[in-house]
Amino acid sequence: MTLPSGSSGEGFLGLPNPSRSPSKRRPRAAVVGKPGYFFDSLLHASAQVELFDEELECEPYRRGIWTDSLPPSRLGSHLGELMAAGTFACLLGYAALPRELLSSGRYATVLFAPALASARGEETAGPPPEGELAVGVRSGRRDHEGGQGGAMVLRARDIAAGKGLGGLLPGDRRPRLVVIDPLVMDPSLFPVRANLDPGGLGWYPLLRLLRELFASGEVPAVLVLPCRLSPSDPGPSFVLARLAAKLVAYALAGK
Amino acid sequence: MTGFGFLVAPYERTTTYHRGAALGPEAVLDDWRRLVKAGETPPPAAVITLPPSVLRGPAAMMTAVEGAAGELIAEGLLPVLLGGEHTSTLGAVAALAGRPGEMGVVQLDAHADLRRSYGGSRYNHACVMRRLHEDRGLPLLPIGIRALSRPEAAYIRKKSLGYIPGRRLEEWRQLLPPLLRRIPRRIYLTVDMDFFDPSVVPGVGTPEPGGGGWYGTLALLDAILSEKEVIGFDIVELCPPREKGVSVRAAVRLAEYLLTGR
Repeated sequence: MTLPSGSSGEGFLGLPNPSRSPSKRRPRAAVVGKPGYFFDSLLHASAQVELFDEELECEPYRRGIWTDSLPPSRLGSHLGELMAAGTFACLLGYAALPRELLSSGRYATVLFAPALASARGEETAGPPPEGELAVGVRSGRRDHEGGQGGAMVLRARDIAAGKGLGGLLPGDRRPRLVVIDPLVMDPSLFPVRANLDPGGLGWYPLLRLLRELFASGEVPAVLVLPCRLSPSDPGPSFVLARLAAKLVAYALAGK
Repeated sequence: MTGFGFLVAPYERTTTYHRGAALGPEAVLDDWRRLVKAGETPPPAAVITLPPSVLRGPAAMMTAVEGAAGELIAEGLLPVLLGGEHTSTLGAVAALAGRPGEMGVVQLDAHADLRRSYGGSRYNHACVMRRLHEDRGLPLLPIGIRALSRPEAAYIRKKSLGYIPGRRLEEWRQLLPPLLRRIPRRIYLTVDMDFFDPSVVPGVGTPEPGGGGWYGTLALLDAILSEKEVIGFDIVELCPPREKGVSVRAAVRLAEYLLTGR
């Protein structure tokens, strides 16, 4: 059976974009995408995602979700406004989080990525900062893992064996910014051309880790990095739309 | 092995995301015939293909499916419906429900299909199981559900309908036995191919992640078949344009497994 969500809007999940009037209740979540095929494809696919979350047994989106499409140059200020207002931000398709956010020291970072360098984006590529947690690693430069000043790493193989975030989560109480490289998922789940390495995260293990993360502390924003999607295969777009919907659901469930 | 007949119903009126389900039945039949020639699959005793003239709307389609399934049953054959969209199941079940004896329905599916109506129709493919459970009063066991609406969840709660969600498929050995006890011995098995994980069956209209794996599903079916008598089954919602043959082959092998245990 194939079925749209039943909504007829132009925003994420096919929902109408809520009013931004100061007198109206503010949605607690926003989906912000970089203009282009990646975001358009996810938006289109998201209209097929059920509004009811079977796992959480609720419709987390009742107050609506703001949907915005902004160039990277405006992301920093917009994200600052959303976070200051307590609105969870799901960012789609940007190459990296705003530099000023990462360098502020106010946030810890968690990366879901197949290799450490990939999730840091072109602007911030290099050895990860101390205290950063990398989840799902199954390839990449070994000199970026662990060691003095290196990131803590939870490898994909250990996740497949049942290991969770547990004691790896940063001990500080800073809010966590999360970056997800879609290629952290197994090629059988996310079969795009660039995703070749076996042993990536399966769907339920990925959701388990995200639930654990959201339950452990404040997560004000998550960035899903871009990847090349094929117009002839909408499956990966749908998986990403489902993932974005789950991110918003987990964020709203905690509010 | 029981003699069986294929009922080919290339009906597609209410799919919305990725269309192509109408091409599923012929694709399965073609592949089946290829494998018959190769000596792998048994030949069907009969094949009834519904013509386009009876597939223009749900009422005509259901009447035609019911009639054709009735013919197969009258000849002592197990009816195997190849859909098309899931609505076609209603006709096959109608032919079987008229026979003496209790029956239930076991549903392998990513979606609950328990909407009261959708898109202005009570016979939208999102409403199939509601028609069977509420209108016909047939006991229902959904397995693999991982996408449903709030009203459907409310219906499940209200009716205390036991089911195995997709996220708990790996626990089926613990969850299945008490649920099977609630269903009559004679069952109709309906398989929406989106039950499977897209890594196994990518060729469906909406590839919901987190579905059944191949061998795990066969083991689950073994457990069902050891307790129940399957009086008919269907394979529906395959969308061949979305893939390169693995999904069609999976549908063929699934039917072969249900018919021969091989």
